[in-house]
Amino acid sequence: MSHKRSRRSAKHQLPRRTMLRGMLGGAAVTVALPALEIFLNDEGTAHADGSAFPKRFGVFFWGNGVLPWRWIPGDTGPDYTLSEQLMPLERHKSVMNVISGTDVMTGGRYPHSSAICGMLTGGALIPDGERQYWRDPTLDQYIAQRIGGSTRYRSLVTGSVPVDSSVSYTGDNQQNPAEKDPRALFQQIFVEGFRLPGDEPIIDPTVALRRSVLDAVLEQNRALQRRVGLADRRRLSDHLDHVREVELRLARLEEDPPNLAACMLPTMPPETIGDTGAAPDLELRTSLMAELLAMSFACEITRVFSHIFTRPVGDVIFPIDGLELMEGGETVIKGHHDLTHNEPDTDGVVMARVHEIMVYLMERLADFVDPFRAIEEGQGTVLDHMVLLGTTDSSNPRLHSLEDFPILTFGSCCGELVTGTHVRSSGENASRVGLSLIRAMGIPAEDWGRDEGNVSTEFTQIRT
Amino acid sequence: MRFFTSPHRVTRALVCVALAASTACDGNIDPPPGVDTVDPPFVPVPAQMRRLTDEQYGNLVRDALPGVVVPPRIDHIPSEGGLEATATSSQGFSSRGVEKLEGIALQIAEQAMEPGEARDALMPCDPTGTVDPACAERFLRRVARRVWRRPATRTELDSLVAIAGQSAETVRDFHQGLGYALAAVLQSPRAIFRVEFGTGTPEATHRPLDGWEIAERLAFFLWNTGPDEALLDAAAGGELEEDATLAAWVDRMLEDERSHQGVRAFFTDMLQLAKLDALSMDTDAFEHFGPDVGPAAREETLRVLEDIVFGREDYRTLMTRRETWLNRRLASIYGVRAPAPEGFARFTFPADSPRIGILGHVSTLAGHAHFGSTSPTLRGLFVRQRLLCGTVPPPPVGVETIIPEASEEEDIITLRQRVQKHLEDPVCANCHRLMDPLGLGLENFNAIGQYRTLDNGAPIDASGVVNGEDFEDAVGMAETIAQSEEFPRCLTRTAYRYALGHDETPGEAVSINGAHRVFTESGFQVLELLRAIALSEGFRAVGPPSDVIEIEEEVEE
Repeated sequence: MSHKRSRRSAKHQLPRRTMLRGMLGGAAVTVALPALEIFLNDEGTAHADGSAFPKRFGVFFWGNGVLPWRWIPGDTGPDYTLSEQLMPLERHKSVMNVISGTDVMTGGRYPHSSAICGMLTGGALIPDGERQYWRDPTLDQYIAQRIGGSTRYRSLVTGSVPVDSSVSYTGDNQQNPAEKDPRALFQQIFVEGFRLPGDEPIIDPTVALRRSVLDAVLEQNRALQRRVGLADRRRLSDHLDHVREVELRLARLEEDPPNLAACMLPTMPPETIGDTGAAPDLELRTSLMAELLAMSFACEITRVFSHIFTRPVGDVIFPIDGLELMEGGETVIKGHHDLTHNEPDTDGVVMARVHEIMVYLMERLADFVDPFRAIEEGQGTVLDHMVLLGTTDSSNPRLHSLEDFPILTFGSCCGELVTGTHVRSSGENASRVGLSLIRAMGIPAEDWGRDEGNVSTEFTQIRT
Repeated sequence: MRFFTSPHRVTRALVCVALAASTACDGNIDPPPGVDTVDPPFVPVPAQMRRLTDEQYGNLVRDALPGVVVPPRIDHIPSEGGLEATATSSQGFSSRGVEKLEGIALQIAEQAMEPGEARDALMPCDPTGTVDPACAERFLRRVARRVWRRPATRTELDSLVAIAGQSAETVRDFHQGLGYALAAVLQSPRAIFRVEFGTGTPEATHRPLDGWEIAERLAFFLWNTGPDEALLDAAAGGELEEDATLAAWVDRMLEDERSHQGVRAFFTDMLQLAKLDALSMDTDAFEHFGPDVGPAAREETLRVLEDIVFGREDYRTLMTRRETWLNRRLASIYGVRAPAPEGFARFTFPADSPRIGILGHVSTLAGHAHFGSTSPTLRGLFVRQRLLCGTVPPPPVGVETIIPEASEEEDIITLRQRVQKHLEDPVCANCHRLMDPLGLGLENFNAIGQYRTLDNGAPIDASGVVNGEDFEDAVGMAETIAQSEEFPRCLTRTAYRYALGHDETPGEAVSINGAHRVFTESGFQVLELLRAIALSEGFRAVGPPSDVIEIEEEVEE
């Protein structure tokens, strides 16, 4: 089987020292940004006013599991050797952890989606007629609901594959749609309502008018809430919170932007992404999104995100040569999910093509982490002041298994987490990892999860 | 138990019950009512708020403000199986959706307030100055009634007029200022949610809907948009609360051109046709495929359905109809001469064609296949779930899901032979027997729907059994399904769920069974079914919301 991959030669570099500052006389002007050390304290460990760098949280989700026998490292501890599927992450080995051997214990009624619901909410996925119901908030939203109040956005939800869905839920089955267009995300967070450190507040009388419009909308909402049943009142109350967020964002336009040394305007992503045929350009899409997300942390646009690389059960056609199969006397190209169920052994190798996809996928995850490490923040990088959870929707996708669940973390979360190790559990509840991340983020939760997924004990091996 | 599943409120509270209830693989829906069965008395479902779909919001706003452009996507409801219409009863707008709506509402209002004929037609008065509360109120009263599907209260109107005045002073223009008040109307929860209270005392368990609420239900059910001025006037005049005048209004609405928009929206939801817009297949393997095939396939199926519905044909001809609508692209896949050089035109397959009814449409065949190969399971699942309303649970975890690859030595050549494991292994067969045999009946059509007789060089055996009847191929299967009880009954059930926004409850059996009786007696005319649902008790009343803190009747303008 051919192992050649199609790759673009030019790597995407985060333009750390340049930024686009709008149009002047019809030409784009690039201005070098001064290092704004004035914003830091003498040791560079905190902001100038002494406040510590904030902790941030992210999720990187991919669909269709791993091949556990080729993904889980063979040995454990800080000196472990990366597995063949984890080799693409070698450059991040010192800042990441591999966690294996925990089980998602919330049941597997629905292949794929039950597992990720259990992993990210600590609870079971519930049937709702023919639909599925995510009852509790996913980790990103659980955390955003507790720490997200001081930034422009409580959280951002993004994706690599150009389809709607996400694995971010606010509770009561309310899914946050993922922004899949890097240009649109740029427009949303770096154009509309964005000001660089040092910029003047925006004084625009129409902003006040928009706020008074929202006040009226809030009042209409409150009047309705008085008359409806509990479930609907909750829905209206969520809606009211969302309207308040919009109002708050408008109010912030009139304040001074936060002074942040690392904050710069990233390059505007291209208007269109050159996807080839059925295969999306996951390499470019993932890197562009990561660059925007990393800068959104540095600029205090948000402190939480959830990124969906590919969907659960996603049947993405990957831009990798050699994935085709002979079937029915013809060459057949299969998507990722189809392959996990219908790929025959190749010379005794189980799911040889799925393995190629896994390697490609871990390469993209490595690319995704790069920008967070490229932005210096104080004496470290943004990654040092965050934790990124990388996980998926099954262990062995052919069996949809919930045991020995694949989990990665990146970043020490301001020293709350150890890094650089492989921790192998003997069947602990995977919710313990979630609880550890919640507490590492500084949230004093007594427990997390529901029923079989409920835990009050952390996964202590990853805590400092 | 007959025509109902679990009470829909279960999903919010009594999760374990629902979990335990449906582990069995039950391919069939409940048996039809016998002559001697008596339905229990009608019990209305508690009032439940529904959100508008993106499409409904766009239709509503374009109708109210002719000429404005509304983006097609604002905050899409995630598609996870089942009807989008029932999801509207549990879904709200996301945080990002609310933010987008704020910007969209301003843009729409700005367009509507641009000087020109459209604005002149919209404005009931000329302002006497930059600030003119009386003129602003006349405009806002009318537009709020249209967009909110009921009159604004005095409080709401005062608040809108105040915004218009304050804004006009700031921007020094009456109409631009009015635009801000219009933006408030457009993003109000009253615009994007459908809230029902019914009438009667707060304690009443049977609360008949008021005229506005009935108008709103009718319009979104039959037109997929809000009520027009005439229907709102009928609501105001109490015409929709009386049986005879209501029936006349339903008839008028079904004769209106907008009922085509409504019927298309219903079948798009039932048959999950929206997914076809993004249909992606292997263009190396299938040279006749392109990104335009999915949308064209969707159009073919919708036009055939419009023919059946508005031609008052027997719904069951959907399975057996030879006449269809093709454009050049679809004709090339079907291997026939295009009936017209451009666009869609009618085409009739010969009576001996192996292609028959909706099971022969590209929308069914390619819409339920893998990227490069057929899937008897996906096709069978579609027929069983969407067309026959059967229940097929997802596969259990920890089960080996691979099927054997083709092997001449073992005489496993065709896909039918390869998926035989699904039907022999008892763990798989329990559910796959409900799907695969139906899908295998369509194996004469490749992944994009082209006819073929060989699979992997071996002749295709498309025979099987459905509902105890043997069939030879897709034609025989379609004819058997057309004669089944389940096929038309599934339409009744789906249309009821679509109209009401929830899965039917035992207390609604009398409404749904009554509608099915009318449907049957009409010779399965879909318009008669829709009419019967619109006139049923279930469509016209709600129960009290279980846990309201405070009910206050607001004085309407």
